[in-house]
Amino acid sequence: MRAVFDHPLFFKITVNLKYELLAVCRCYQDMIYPILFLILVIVLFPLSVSPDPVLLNKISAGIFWIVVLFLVLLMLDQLFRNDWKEGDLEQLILTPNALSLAIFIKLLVFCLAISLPLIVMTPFLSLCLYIPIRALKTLCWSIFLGTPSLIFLGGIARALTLGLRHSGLLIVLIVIPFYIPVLIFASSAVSFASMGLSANGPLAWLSVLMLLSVSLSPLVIRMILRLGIAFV
Amino acid sequence: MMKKRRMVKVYRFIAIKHFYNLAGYLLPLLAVFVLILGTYGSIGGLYLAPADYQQGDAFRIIYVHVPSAFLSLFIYLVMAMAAVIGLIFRIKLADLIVSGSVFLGSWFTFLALLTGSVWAKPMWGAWWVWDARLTSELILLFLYLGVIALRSAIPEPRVAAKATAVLLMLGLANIPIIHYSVYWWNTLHQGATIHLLSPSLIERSMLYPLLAMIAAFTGYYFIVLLLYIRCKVLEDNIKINSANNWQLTKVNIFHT
Repeated sequence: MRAVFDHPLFFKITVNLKYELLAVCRCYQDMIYPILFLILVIVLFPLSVSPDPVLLNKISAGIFWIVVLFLVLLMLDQLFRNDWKEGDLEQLILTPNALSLAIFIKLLVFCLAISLPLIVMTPFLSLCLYIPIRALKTLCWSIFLGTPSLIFLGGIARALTLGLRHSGLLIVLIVIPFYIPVLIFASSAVSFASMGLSANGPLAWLSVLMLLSVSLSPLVIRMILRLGIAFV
Repeated sequence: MMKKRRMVKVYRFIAIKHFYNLAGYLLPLLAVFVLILGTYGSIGGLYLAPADYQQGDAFRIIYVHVPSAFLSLFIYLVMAMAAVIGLIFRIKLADLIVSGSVFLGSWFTFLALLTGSVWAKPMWGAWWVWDARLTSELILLFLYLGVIALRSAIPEPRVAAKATAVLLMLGLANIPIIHYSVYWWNTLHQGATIHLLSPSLIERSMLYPLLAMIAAFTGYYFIVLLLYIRCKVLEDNIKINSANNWQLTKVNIFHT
C-alpha cells in the first residue's frame, strides 16, 4: 500500500487534483451557473411548445439533452481560459512534466463541476418536463456517462480555438458533428426508459464513447496545445 | 559502411518547384481526359442508356448524384491523408492540397445532398428523411464547413494548417460510417450496386457511363486542385518577391 502512495504518478495526480479542486472551490459560483441556466432554459420549453403532458412525455428526453448540450457548449468557453490568460498554460506546456495528465485532471474537474450540479437538479427538472419517474435513473446514468464525452471532445475544439476571436461560436461549429452520436444515444436511452423498455443498449454505447474520448482526447489536446495556436 | 542508396526520383515532386512543373504538364492531359470521359458519360447516360423499368427516365440523375457523393468522400480522404502526411513530415505541399480541396469538397457534398433530395421526391415521396446515410452525409457537410471556419479564423497560415490537419484527422471517423451505413442499419437509401471485385448489380449499358462520369468528375477535381496550387504558388512568389524588393516598389510609388 505504501508503494502506491510513494509512486511519483500518484503524487502527480494528487497535486494536480488538489490544485484544480482548490481553484473550483475558490469560485464556487461557477457551479451555480449550470443550475440556473438549466432551470431558466428548461422552463422555456413547456411555456413555448405546449404544457400538454402527453406531448411533452414524447419529446422531453430530447429537450433535456439538447439543453444539456447547450449548457456544455456555453461553459466550454471557460475551459482553459483562466490558465491561458494568466500564462499558466504556456508554462505548463514548456515544463517537461506530463502535460496530458494535467490536461486530463483539468477536464475531469471541469466535468465534475458541471455534471454534479446537473445530477442534483435532474429530479426537479424532470418534473417540469413530465419525464416519468421510471426514467429518472436512466437519465442520471446518461448524464454521468454522456457529459464526460461531451466535455472531453469539447476540450479538443477548445484547444483548437483558444486564442481566436468568436471562439465560443467556433467551438460550436467545430464540435457539433462529434456531439451528434452522443446526443442520439443519450436521448434514445432516456426515451426507451420513458416507454418502459430497457435502455442498456444506448447506455452501453454511451460508455464506449465516454471511454474512448476520456482516454484519447488528453493526448490530442496535448498535441494541439504544443502547436502553439494560442500563443501567436 | 553505409550502402549507397539510389534516390527515388518521384519524391522530388514533393518540392513545390517540381510540382508546379508537373502540374503544368498534367493539366492539358487531364483536360482531354475529362472531356472525353465526360462526353461519353453524359451522352451514354442521358441518351443511350435504357430507361429503368421501375423509375423510368428519372433515374438518370444517378449520373450526377453518384459521382458527387463518391467525390465528397474521396476528397475528404485525399485531404485527410495530405493533412496527416503534412503534419508528420512537415510538407508545404500538403497544406496547399488541403486548402485547394476543401471548398470543392464541401460543394460536392452539398450537390450530392441536393441531387439526392431532388431524386428522392418522386421516388420516396419526401424531400428528406433522417436515415443513416443521409444524416452521416449531412455530418460530413458540417465537418467540411467546420474546417473552412477554423481555417479562416486563424490568422497565421502555418499554424492554421496544423490546426485544420488535426480537425481533419478527427473527422475521419465519419467516412466508414457513411460508407457502411447501408449495411449496418435499415436505411431507405439503397445498398451498394457497384461492386469492386464481383459483378455489379446494375446493367452494363448503364454502368459504363456511370463509371465514366465518376472518372470525369475526379479528373475535374484534380484539374481544379492543380490550378489552385499553381495560382497559390504564384501568389506566394509575388508576395515574397515584393517583400524582398520593397525598396524598388517604394521608389516607383513616390517618384512616378
